[in-house]
Amino acid sequence: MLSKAGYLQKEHMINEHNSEWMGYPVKPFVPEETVSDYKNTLYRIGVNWDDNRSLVDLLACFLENPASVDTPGIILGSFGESDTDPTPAVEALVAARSRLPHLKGLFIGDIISEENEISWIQQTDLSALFGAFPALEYFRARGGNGLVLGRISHGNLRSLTIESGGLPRGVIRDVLASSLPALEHLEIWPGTEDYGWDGSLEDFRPLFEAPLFPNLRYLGLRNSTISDELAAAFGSAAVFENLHILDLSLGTLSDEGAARLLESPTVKLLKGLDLHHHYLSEGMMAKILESFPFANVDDVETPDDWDGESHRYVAVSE
Amino acid sequence: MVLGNPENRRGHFFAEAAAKAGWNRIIPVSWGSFLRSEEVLEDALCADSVLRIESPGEDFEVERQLMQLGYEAILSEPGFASIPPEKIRVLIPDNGQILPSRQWFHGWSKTLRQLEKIIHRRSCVPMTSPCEIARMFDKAACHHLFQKQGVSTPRLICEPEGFDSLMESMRNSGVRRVFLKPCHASSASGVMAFEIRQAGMQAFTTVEREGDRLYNSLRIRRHQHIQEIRTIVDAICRHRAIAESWLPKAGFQKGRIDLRMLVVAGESGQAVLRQSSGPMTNLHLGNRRGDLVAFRERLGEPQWQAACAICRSAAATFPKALHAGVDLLISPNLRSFAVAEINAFGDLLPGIEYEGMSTYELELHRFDGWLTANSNPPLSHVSTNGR
Repeated sequence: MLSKAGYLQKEHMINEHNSEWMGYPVKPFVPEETVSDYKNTLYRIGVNWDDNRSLVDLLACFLENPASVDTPGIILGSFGESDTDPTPAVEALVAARSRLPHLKGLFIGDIISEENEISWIQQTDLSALFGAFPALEYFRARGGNGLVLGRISHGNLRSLTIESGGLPRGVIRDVLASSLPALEHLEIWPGTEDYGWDGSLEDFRPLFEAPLFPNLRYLGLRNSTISDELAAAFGSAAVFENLHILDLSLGTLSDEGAARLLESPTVKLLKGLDLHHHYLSEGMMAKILESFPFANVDDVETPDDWDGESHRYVAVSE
Repeated sequence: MVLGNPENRRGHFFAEAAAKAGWNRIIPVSWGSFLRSEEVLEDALCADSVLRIESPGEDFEVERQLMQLGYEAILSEPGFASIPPEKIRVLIPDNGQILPSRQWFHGWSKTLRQLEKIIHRRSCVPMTSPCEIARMFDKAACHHLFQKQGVSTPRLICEPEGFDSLMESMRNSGVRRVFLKPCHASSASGVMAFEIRQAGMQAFTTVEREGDRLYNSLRIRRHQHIQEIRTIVDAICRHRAIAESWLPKAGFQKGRIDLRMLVVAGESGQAVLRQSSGPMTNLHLGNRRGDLVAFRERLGEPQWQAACAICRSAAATFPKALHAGVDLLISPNLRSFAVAEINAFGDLLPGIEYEGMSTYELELHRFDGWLTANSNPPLSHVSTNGR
């Protein structure tokens, strides 16, 4: 989060690697250490400090062991020095598709801020991964620069998560034009204009106008500068029959957007409402909790005041 | 005999520990009075007196005196920032102002050399040799020493003269992220974390500039414009600085962490997990102590032992120091370690215990054994009473 004065404010930086994903524990892949259990443990393959090996070399190392055929997921961590993108490793994964028949999950970019800030991560065209792995259920990517997912057509994908500090609108449009009948979890972090978000509410319109993903249980529109507008659009949408959880956290939600949520008949049917990192007033927080006792309204933020205007910030941009 | 600053709580903690350990004759000598007149200390010392040298910090008068002492030497180094005696005389305490640390270091080394002579003349026993203290205050010298002894550290990129020289060295080494540190300062004073990429650059630092004066603020600022970064880098380099590879830190419980370990008499002692949201973990920057017990569990015992071992080997490069505070970096995959810094006065860790002892109590506890093992000739007649 950056204020005009340039002070680094206390923010939700991505400081830690996931210690578990898809219900499996996650460990770092260290070539010198034997992997004991490909079946029940996920390994994060990433370039370490003093590693001379590239990401694609490390991936090859991981796949060398025939037991790797059992792995349920591949996590790619640090791609290398700052501007390196994962293209060679992604191509290698696609080429190795027949050797990973049980692959349920792919996480491209488990990178913490110390390794590379989210807005500096160089992503690439990941679209070929969906066609290569028909058994895929979980897909997660971090970093918006250069990210391309394409229009996805996948019968088994249950969870799609895109984390970024600034997402190109093309990605959102592609996702909302995709055919994902099994999708239960959709999480998008549009981010801010400063770091590549060039879209608007318009790009999300298809999501609120038709039941694109009839099995959706969780909708996350997080880390956004248009949280209020998204809240309003959601509030008046009538297409989320089976939804359990709405997540508008890490963004710029204010009383305006929260009021729309309070009025909404759809929100009343939810089982979970995650609004942490928000700009709500005390009064509004109380009203939200009254109507939705299960709501998460932690991490109250206060706007920065400069130039006579109030400025609200997303949690994760740099 | 304790040579320190009376207002400083270090002396207070030490006195407490000494009383507990039965050292019943502690004579404090202030840095201020010592710098005014060496006889104050020399006359009070006798053969086999134990001398504890404490930090000269947190006393503006002492800082001024050290700056004065360093003036002559800094004159022969025109590339570095300096303040002439007449200006030093009228300096007022300006909270957070960074005074030319190379000049300060010259004054400090000169003082330590004097102490070395006095110790020799009086045949007394220093807890840490002044010579080694001086070396610990020179980050460039420490880098070379660690490299020679095979102690793992971030790669030293260069000793830049300024922004342009730094950029050139980074280009030549193919390195895009560095930590720029003044050689002779401590506590993240004047430190900058700097990274470049195709689309631009950014620098994190507590350093603020007001005209040609540098200040340490308590908040880390981010700079993204080359002009401002250039100005600050040039100013830091005028203190004499090193640029080393910026190794990403491990994350734990939502923060980035590193480890401060105190090595006492060659053995492991107190440890603190330092946790921050930004690139600098120093505790006074609004950072916090992390959950060391939980972290040790996450790290696993073999890795914990490896961490202790590398800290001991770093401290072993200073065999005449009773204690050394080692700052250890841990890689995000928790497999690699590197020594970021070694501190001569790294034992101010209030509330942190090792085997039920404070840092000062541990030092006193291990002192006799260490002395016997290290002294030449052996001082078998030295006892803890009546010092």
